[in-house]
Amino acid sequence: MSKTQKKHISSNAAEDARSFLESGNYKKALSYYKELLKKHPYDENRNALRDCYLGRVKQLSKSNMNREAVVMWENHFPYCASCDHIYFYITLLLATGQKDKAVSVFLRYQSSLTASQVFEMEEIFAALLLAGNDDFAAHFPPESLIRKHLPFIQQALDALVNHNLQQLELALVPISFRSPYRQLKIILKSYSAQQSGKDSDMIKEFLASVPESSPFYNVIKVIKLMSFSLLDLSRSLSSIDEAEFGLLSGCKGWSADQKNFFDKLRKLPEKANIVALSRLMPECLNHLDRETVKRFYYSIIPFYTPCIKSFEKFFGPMQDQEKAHIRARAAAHQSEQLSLEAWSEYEHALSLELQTDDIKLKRALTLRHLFSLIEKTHGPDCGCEKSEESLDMLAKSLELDPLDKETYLKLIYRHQRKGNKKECKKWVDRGLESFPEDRDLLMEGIKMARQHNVLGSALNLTERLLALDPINFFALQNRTELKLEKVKKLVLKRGFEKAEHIIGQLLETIPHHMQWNVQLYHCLSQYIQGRPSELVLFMQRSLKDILAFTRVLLHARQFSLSLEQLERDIPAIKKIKIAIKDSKQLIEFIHVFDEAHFETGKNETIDQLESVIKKAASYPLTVNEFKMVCAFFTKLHRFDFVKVFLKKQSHLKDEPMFIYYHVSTSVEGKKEPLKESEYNLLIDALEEAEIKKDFSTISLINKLLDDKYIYEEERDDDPSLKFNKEDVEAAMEIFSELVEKFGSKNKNKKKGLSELINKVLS
Amino acid sequence: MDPYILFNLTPDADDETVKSAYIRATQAYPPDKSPKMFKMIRTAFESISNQRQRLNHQLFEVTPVCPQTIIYACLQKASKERETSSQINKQIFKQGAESAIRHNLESLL
Repeated sequence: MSKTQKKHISSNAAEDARSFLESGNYKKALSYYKELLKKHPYDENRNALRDCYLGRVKQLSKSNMNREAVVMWENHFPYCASCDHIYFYITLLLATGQKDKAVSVFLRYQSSLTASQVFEMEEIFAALLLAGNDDFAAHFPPESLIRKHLPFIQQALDALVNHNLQQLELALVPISFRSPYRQLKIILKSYSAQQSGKDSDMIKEFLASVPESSPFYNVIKVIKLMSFSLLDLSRSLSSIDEAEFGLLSGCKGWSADQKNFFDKLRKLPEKANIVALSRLMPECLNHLDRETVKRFYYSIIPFYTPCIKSFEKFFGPMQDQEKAHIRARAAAHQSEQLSLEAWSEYEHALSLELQTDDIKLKRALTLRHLFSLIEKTHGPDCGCEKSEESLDMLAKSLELDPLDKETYLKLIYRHQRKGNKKECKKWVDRGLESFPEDRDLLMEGIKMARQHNVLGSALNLTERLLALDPINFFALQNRTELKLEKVKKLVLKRGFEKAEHIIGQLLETIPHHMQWNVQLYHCLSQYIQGRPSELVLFMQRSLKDILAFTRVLLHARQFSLSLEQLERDIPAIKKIKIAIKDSKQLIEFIHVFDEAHFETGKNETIDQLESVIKKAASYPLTVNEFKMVCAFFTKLHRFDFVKVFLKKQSHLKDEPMFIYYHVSTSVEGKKEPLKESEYNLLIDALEEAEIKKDFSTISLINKLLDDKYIYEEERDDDPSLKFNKEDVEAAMEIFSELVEKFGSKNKNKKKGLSELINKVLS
Repeated sequence: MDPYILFNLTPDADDETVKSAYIRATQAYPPDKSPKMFKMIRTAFESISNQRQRLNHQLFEVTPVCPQTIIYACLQKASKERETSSQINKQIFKQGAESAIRHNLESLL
């Protein structure tokens, strides 16, 4: 280089060097400043050279050439005591894994670092210590907090793993505010507070104080996951990110296969696509036992039958029974009819197997399932063939498995509703054979025995029930009624002494609130013996309430005592104004009759209260109340009263039940079949009832239609489609006009069409 | 969730075994502290509490298995003895330190 060129470089070099430095072209800037420093060894150039080296080091580090960056720094900055550079150098050492050197530099130059830099470094060193670098600890002075607090924090971590919160809290006590482990302490304390159910907002605030830059930051989520039960963990895996999942799998010690498998599973949504799930089934065999995987297959196959191939590959061909079961379960999502057929087939397939106890029980359960399906689709009281079949299924299920109380009760209730007393009794008896001490069956038995008037058996069953349940209200009530029945018979045979003895026993044993009937019978017995005073007092007490008055009349009838007779001896009765005050009381009034187990005397009592009942007919009733009232009077064949209610409850005239009673009362007692208008009304009501799923009305209407079958010849479903000859001719005429109008070039087609329409409507 | 997986039972478990598993589960998730979990545990128990119920479940249960159930089943099988703190140290803190160093470098560069 000539003197002139050197001079030229010298004057421009400084500017060039500065511009290279400022633009970040450190390599070039370095060569310029090296030359400049040789020629002009000023501080300005020295500092600039240092900045070039620093910039170059950072460039190398940015390019992940940290080792090269460390070498360059060490070669060119041994004299630099700026705290920023020292901090940077230590960070570079750590990034290149030179932990020991990093510590010794840190300890040598600690005083030139800022407080926050010292803390950040100490925290990283603390994390490295906890990561298992035990020999690393020897670099730190024994009195340093990083070494002093290490055993406590390790105890805390052990306590965490062992879920010992008390131990955890104790171990964290010595960890002070200045400790490099303080962020970790905050996290562990927050975890402990969370487990103890403390204020979650406060806990969140504490955790928020741990910066993301802290080496302990990722501990937060992972510790939470680590401490989860397996169940909670299985639900949380889908919500963590890849890095956390990787960390967790490492901590949990999962193999690469397990990790991959869990990763696939956790990425599936909770209600995963069945095809995707089915594809994972073969892989499940690597991680689970065969029986479990088999059950998983069984749960998937009904939703995705191609999976059967995969199943059979690992477990061999499916048996016929298994296939039938799968078809039945698959049919459950398709249609109710298919479901019924498929389950019937399954039951049939089971019947062909060897009849072990297990198979029998499966058949029984399947038959009961079929019963509930039929009841769901056809309603409990439809009276159709399917409904009858379903009862046979239930009966068959009991042959296979007699030990199902609910089935006995279902049969009893269904036959009760059908009015089939014989079947009812049969199932009560059989139920009691299998479950002699069952309260529900005993109660049904008592009801049956009373319905059949087998009072001895009823009393026997009542005593059995009371032996099991001494305060059973139903049993106490029935025993009282049965004994009063006996009292009545004795009184009518003039066996007053024995009757009074039984009454005395009852008054001693039954609770006070159940003694009303007993006291009434005592009074009636006294009255019949010619001592009316007690009855007078009793009537005076009772006559304030229509319900009590009605009970008195009903029971008096059992002793062949009429209202007229009582009025003769108790004139006060005539003066009392008894009324049913509202619709609620009307229903209670009807229940008084239902409660009474005797059949005689009810019609006579109703006759005596005719005006009271007719006045009450004006109270607006709900549909259910109306049903109860009409059913009650129909049962007693008092259609005159039904008609009264039909007349007064016109606001219900569109209800299917109303229409049914309207038609049934009008045809009652007539031999002629239903008229077409009556039939149409019933069909409309039936459709409406089907929409409303009003099974009781459906059943009643069907029965009425069956009983009053009208047509001898076949008829269309829609009678309105029957035309007579004149109607057809008129229609043809109108259609011809239509064709003529639209066939011709008539401009005013709209007017023409509306004229035609008016013609049709008229 | 499949009750057998939930209680870590085989389908041939008898009434006593099922009941013991149910009691253990409710101790881990008592009703006052984990009402939702308790409800799930209770429902699962009722579906397999006796032989009749177990057969009912086997015959009529129509829910396909879900991924969480499979994970749970695998976790049960794979679970080791409680991890020691040294295992936590090696993984979590090593990665935490590395992450902090990277963060510092990025802020300095």
